[in-house]
Amino acid sequence: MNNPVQIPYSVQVEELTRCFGSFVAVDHITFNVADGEIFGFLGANGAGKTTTIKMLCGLLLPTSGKGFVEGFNIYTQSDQIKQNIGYMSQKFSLYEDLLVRENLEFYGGIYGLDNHTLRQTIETSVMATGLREHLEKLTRDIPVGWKQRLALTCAILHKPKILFLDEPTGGVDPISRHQFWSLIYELAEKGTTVFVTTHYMEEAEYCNRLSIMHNGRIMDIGAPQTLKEKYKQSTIEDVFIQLVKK
Amino acid sequence: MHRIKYIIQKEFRQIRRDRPMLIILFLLPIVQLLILGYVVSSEVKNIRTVICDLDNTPLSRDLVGRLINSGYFDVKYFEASESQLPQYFDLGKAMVALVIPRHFARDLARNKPTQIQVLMDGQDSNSAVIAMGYIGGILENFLTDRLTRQMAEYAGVLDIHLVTPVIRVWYNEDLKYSNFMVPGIVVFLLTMVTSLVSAMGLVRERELGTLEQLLVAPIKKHELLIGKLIPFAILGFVVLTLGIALAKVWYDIPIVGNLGLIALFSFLYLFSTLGIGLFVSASARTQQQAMFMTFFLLVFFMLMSGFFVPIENMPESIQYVTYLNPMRYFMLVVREVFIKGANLSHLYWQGIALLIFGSGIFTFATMRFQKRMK
Amino acid sequence: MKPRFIAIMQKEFIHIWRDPRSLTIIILLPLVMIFLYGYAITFDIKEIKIGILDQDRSPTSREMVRQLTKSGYFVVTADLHDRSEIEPAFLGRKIVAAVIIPDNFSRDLNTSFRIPVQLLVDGSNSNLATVTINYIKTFFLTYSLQINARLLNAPIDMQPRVWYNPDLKSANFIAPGLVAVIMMLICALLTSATIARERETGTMEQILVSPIRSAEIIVGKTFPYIFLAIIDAIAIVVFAWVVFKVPFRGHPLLFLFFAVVYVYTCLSLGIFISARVKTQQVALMAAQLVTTLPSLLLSGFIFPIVSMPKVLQLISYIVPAKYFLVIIRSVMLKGVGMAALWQPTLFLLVFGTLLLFISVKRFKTNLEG
Repeated sequence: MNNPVQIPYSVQVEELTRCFGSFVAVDHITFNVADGEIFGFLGANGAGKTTTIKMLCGLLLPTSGKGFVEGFNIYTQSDQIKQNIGYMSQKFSLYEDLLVRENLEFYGGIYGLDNHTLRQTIETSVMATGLREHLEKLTRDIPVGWKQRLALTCAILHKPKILFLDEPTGGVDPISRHQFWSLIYELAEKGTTVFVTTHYMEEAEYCNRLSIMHNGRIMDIGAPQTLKEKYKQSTIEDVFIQLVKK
Repeated sequence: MHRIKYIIQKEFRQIRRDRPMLIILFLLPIVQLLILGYVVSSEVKNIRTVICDLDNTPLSRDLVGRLINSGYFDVKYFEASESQLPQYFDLGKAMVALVIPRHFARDLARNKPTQIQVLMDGQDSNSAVIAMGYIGGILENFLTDRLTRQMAEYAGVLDIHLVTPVIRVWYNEDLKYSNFMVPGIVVFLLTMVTSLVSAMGLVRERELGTLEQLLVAPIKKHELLIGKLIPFAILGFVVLTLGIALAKVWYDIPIVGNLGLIALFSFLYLFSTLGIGLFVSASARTQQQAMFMTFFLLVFFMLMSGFFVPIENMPESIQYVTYLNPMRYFMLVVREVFIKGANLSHLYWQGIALLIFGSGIFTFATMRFQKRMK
Repeated sequence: MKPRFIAIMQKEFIHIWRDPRSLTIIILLPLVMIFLYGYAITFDIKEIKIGILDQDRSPTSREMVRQLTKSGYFVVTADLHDRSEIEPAFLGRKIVAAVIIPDNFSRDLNTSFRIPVQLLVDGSNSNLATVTINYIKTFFLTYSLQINARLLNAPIDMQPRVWYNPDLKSANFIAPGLVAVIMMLICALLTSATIARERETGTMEQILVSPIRSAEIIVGKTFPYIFLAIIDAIAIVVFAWVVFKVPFRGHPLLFLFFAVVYVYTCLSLGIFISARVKTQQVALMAAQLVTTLPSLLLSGFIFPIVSMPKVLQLISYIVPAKYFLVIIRSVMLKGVGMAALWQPTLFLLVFGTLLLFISVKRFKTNLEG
């Protein structure tokens, strides 16, 4: 962050806070995410990751602080934000009783893709993800790893500038997880910003930059390598433990 | 508007896939219409009756015959002794016992007042009141006929003048009760199905987490709600059509008025029922809660709509409360159009009331439905 | 070691407690219904709206109209001047009946034997129309007797005597019925829904992998609802007794015994349903179809069974609420004991056991499947 002026930011957050009653879920956090970056949010369960993502997606109003996504204010411009983001939550929010194809058509449809574009997009994305063979199956009948890929495909049909992934790989086997991350790298290469929360340490290593969160506060931010050097640890896990213990 | 199409399409695909639900959705109204048509009634028939005729004269037997021929009483037992009657109640064998006193015919012939004892099991107070009314009516008719006969005999001799009502019934000449009840049942079913399904539909998406996914999409609140509700409105019209067809074919209910008018008012009314469903789904967290809340409201609406409990007989304060019940207006409209062939000019105020309620409830519910979470 | 079903039971109590809205409705709904039936709902018909078309316009005809309204059964809501006004008055719902007093009515009253007075009735509400016709007939009979001073009237006096509910109070009738319906609602509908919900959200899986036996699951899951049902039943009885003076003539312990028998039957029905359905929505709808509706409509709760067509009367024989209704009305209003009620009790026990027997095996496999 030597040259903030030159880097266009996808997400800018300043002193963002959210309380539920007397409980402070997110406590004055400040960070920026650059365009095209894979930005990780690492933290234990209940650290405030999901709350942060929900505020950025316009699902939840902050208690105080500032926040911008793709230049739009999260307080007042949630409609514009929604046009530009993709979102995939920890439980795959797909309609289990629709066919895979029907889920794709539906999500493409509500993002306002016209029929022609929709068909083309579905075509290209099932090619890329290998979902083709499952297209005519009921969603509830396909394996979890495929459901996850389907959820991701649904979230990017409208080619969002930024993709929010909230613990996307929970309950998925390592191979599927690996495949999933290659898809994410492809997206990032094409210029999509990826904002991902996780509590898997090895996933954290995949990110360009990482923010370690604990009890609603950001403990530190930096590239995985930088963080490891700074805290003189060999793995992110050790960095995390050291930060949390403080 | 383009997006609404996709929500509607999705909704129909889900409905179609969910076989058990689909079956229930169609079975529930049909079964209910078939059962309710025979059950919901303020008529009581086949009242189990025991007769204790201590007089046993042609005149007393005439009275018993009238009781039997009325069709309301199922005279099962004849008992010679009055003291045996209470055991019929204790064992639940009879609900009514009628005691015709000794010298009944003789007293009447001498123009001496006489007393008929009616004993009743009062556990089912409603039926008891109604049965009492029937007996009263039969006695009155018995007396009228007797007096008319008497007067006619004297007519040449004495100076007698008799005012007799000449009765003509309009609209429902045979006084068929089903002509009144069945249209009411159709209204009730429409109300139940549309409010219940819309209440549960949105809550289900919230419970399963798919609502969250919809809320992060750039879709307007009204687009989401309209898209979700249009299939339910269509379902409502299917139920309505099914109900009217059954009324016509199964119950042989004549439809005097204009069905287009029914469709118009149904359209207005659906804003209220779907609005109520929406309101419930905005406040309920689980489908079970939604179902309970809807059920609670439906009981109120049913009792306060004139469906089978007449509104005119309620205390005045409660009559005012019924004005807040949209079902009351629609119930009246459907019956008036079905039986009497009323047209828009007679149902003007009902239309306005439904319009106000529909838009009011709908707007309120839409406002309560938050796009952000709490 | 603490019995395992205790853990499930505690969890279930917490579910109920965390959902105060449903709890409130379960408690409030029957009380509100007693209230409505106690205060608002009556099937007596009074103040029937009539129109008068007085073509005679004499003191005599006016006096007759005055007498007609004096009884309280009729109110004149339209003064008609021409026959053509009658139909619009019917369609505008201003009147239920129109009485047409003919020309020369007062003159004929002194010269003719029969003086016809026309009565036009709106038959759309057949019940109201029948009552109106009866009232009018009675009125003219009385009126005729009055104007013919020479005729002697020998009235038949109807002497009613009512057993068990002498004032014919609706609350006495509705309160026991509500107990039967609400207990069915809680035991059958709630339990089948809660089991379906666990299956839908996947928590049932979690329970099944534990070393618990399916009987323990059933006991643990249903006990809180048994408790709730009995509490609610007592609340209804007490409320009816305090507010509407609904009598309770039987022995309270006897009442509790029958309540437990009935709960057993209802729960078996609930388990029977949940063994067959997979989603909450279907469970709720199916439970409505086989529990709530028959209990409301085919049990004699509001509508007497004897008045129904034969087919429905036959169906009513497998409606548990019908039997419990006989029992509870007998206990509350008649105050009879066990001896008179062994038949319905036996039925409830047999029916419940039968359902349970069919379901348990299927229940276990369905839970896993």
